[in-house]
This record gives sequence, structure tokens and C-alpha cells, in this order.
Amino acid sequence: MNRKTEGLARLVCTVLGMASVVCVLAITLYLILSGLPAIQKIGLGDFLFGPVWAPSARNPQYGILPLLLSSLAGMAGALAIGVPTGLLVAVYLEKLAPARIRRFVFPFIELLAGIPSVVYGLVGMFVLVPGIRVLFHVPDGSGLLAAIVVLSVLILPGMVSLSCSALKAVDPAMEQASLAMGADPVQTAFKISVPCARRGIANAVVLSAGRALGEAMAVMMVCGNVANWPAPFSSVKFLTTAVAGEMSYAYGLQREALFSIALVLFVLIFILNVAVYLTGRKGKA
Amino acid sequence: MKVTSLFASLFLGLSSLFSAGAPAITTDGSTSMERAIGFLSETWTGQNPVTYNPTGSSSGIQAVKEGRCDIGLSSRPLKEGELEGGLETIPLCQDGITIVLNPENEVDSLDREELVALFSGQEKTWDSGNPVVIIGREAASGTRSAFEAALGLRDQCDYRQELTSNGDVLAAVSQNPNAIGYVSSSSVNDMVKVPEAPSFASTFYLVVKNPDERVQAFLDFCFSQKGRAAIESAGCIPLS
Repeated sequence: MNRKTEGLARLVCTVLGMASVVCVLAITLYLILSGLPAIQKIGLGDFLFGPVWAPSARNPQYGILPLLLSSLAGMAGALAIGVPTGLLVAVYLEKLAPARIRRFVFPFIELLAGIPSVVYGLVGMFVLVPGIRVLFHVPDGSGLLAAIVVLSVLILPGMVSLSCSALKAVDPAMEQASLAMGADPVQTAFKISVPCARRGIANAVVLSAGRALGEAMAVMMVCGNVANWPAPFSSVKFLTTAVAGEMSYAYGLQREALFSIALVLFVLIFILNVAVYLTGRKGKA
Repeated sequence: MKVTSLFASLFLGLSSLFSAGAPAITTDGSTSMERAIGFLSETWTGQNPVTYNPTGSSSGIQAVKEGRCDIGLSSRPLKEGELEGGLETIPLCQDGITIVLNPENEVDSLDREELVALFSGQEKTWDSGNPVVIIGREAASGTRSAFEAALGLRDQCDYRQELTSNGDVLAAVSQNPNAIGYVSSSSVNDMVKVPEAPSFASTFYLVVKNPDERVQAFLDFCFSQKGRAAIESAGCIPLS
């Protein structure tokens, strides 16, 4: 009887586990099948490196280079602000802060992670965009910088909580040994705990990068949505905002091109994940 | 026991959601027509409820062509290629496109040449020396297409922001003292200032494909005495 239930449980878990694999494979296949036709029609070079995105103009042009560079610049900017901040917050909370403060701060970080991204976009639209305009004396505050700030706040909670888990998992014996050798807690945290948790932290960075690359709603509300080259104060369009904003009315080649953009996004995320997998393996060896 | 009753009520609630009486008359399209359709569906007393999905003119036309809705709403005339597949357009009412400024802007009037210079990016500063910030609609917007056609500036406007609804344009213009934009006249509110400027008439169209009895009843209602009154209270001029 007991053995039977165990077998059943094993079967259920295997099926569920395989289901997620099947989902990923199905989505990959679908994206490739629906994304390739437009790339074939437009030409890979013209699609990836074409400088003008104007799919609904009278002479439509389907070059995604400005969108691609804007997306990458937005992600890089968000990581440049979000990763150091998140990591320092995590080190402080997990290794240096008194338990009282940790118990107080942690729920707020979790709450921050739970706020829907459209709310970040709304605050960005009514506070950040006018704020940037006044602060930097530019004609209009919407654009890449506003998107970067919104994205870095958006990835912060994930960065903090994932880094915290990684730091928590460090073998206490290592830290105790360091302290016993006379290193102070700050030295121990940065020279022992962080290096030991680097795999988990790298994972946190990649997941944050994916989040920043994939976010559409919050970005759409502050970036201006005109497909210019990326510059801090110029209005930009991201890969995601092109898909989200144009899918509702696109048809024909434009619709197919939006699927191709989704495929490009998917490939970028895939590359990120492979990169962290490889660095992780090297770290272990 | 409690859990079962909870599930039972949940199930009942869900099933009542999906079996809601008579099939709805679905409309889809122009965000500028929100008020007109809203007033019409409120006064409509027919059995079938009227639903509205604000997606934009091009999207609405596409939806009715693909049979995803009963009535497409367009705030611009249909282009040649779009009329294929047995689509029929019915002019519903006239609305205007209104130029809007930030309340802090000192400009009180703009003529047609000034508007062309501003929106095409030839004139980059206001009289005060501040830079002009142009807020417009997304490429598929009927309001944008009607406005650009009226100024002879198709695909030539120098937008700083392209937003997806009248409300977004009003919000963005109200947030930036140097902004100028255009919205459907019936959606103007007091967040923005309306300068003296030429007004651009635009026509709202209903787009249908082989309407059945259910849809035809609503179309008849739109052109009845009551329907015309509803359109007038929405701030538009009914057409016969």
C-alpha cells in the first residue's frame, strides 16, 4: 500500500516536472515558427541592423536596431543601479544588521516585489517624468533615463531577496573561521560570504537582467514610445513596448515582425541563462 | 464542509459569469469614441447588452474583419485595403479634434500655419524661448491619422511622445508646461488649456460585416430619436 502511494506520488511529480519542460519546448517551437517568416521576408541583416522602425508608415520599414539598443541600454542602466544597491542591501540585511532591523525591513522589500509594475509606471509618469524635466532642464522628462530609473526600482526587490537567500546558504563554519582569525564582520561579509555566494548572486543578476529586459508595461508609460536611438533624455521604444503597444492593431508583415521581435527577446534571455550556467560550472571546478 | 460550500459558491459564481443572459453586442475600436458609445449603450434598452473594448481604430477595423466583434469603431475613414472582405461603414456622428496646451502656456491662439510649423518641427521654440514638446497618438490612432491628414503632415509630425489614448495625452500635456497635443474634442477636460485654433472635424464610423438582427437593432437605435439625443449628450453631432 505504502509503496503504491509512493509510486503514485513519484509519477505525479515526474509528470508535472515534464510538463514544464514540454511548456518551454512548445513555446520555443511556436516562437521560432511564427518569428522566422518575417525575418526571412525582411532579411536577417535588415531586420536586426536596420536603423528605422516605422511599420505603419506608407513605406514601412522594419529595422529593430534602435529598439534593440534601447532595450539593452535600459537593461544595462537598470543593472548598473540595481545590482550594487541590491547586493549591498542584501549583505547588510543578512550579515551585518541586527535581527530587529532585518525583521522590520524584510517585509517591506517583499511588499515592494509584490507591487504591480503598472503602479511603478504610474508613479513614474506623474512624479519621475516631470521630476527629470525640472531637475535636468530638458524639454520633456520621458525617455531612456526615466525607464532606467523605473526598471532599477523594479529589479531591486528580486535582487535583494535572491542575494539574501544566496548569502544565507553560505556555510557558517567558513564565516566563523574568518572571524576567529581576527577579521571583523565587514571584512568577513565581503571577503568570505560574498565570494562563497557568488553563484547565487550571479543567478540573481541574470534573473534581474531578464526582468529588466522583459518588462513592458512600466516602461511603456515613461519611455515616450518613439523609436529613436537611445540617449538618456530622448524618447525611446523598447523591444517589449513595440510588441505590447503594436500587437493590438498590427496585421500582415507587421504582426509577423512583432513575433520576430519576441523571438529576439527570447534568444537574448536564453543567452543570459546559458552564460550564468557556464560561469557557474567554471566556479565549481 | 465549509470548504465544499466555498467551492460550490465559487463554482456558481463562475458559471453565472459565463452564462450571462442574452449574447452581448460587442464593439471594439477607437478610444475617441468612448463617450459616444458609452452614452449610446447607457440609453440602449434592448435585451442584448452592449460591450466596448477601447483598442484603437485600426484594431477595431481588424477585429470586425476577423469576426472578433460585431461592430468596429473607427474615428477615421477606412483606407482602400481595409474595405475588403464585405465590410460596410456607417458614418455615426461628427466630432472635432482639439488642440490642447498646458495651462501654464501663455499662447492663446494658433492659426493653421503656426500649427503646421509646430507639429512638423520647423518651429522648435515657443515665443518665451522654451522648447516645444509635441505629444501625439500612436501610429494606428484614427485621431492621429485624421489630424495629420487635415494639416497635410502624414507621417511627418515630430513627436516627443506617442501615447495610446486621449486620456494619456491629456495627462502628459498637463504634466509639461511646454507641451502641445491634440485630442478628440469630446474628451477635453480642465487639466489642459484650449487655445483659439482651427478646429478639425472628424467623423466617427461604425464598421460592420453582415450584421444580424441583434446588431441591426442596435444600429437602428443609434439613428433613432433617442440615439441621436444620446450622441448629442456625449458632445458629438449626430449624422443621419
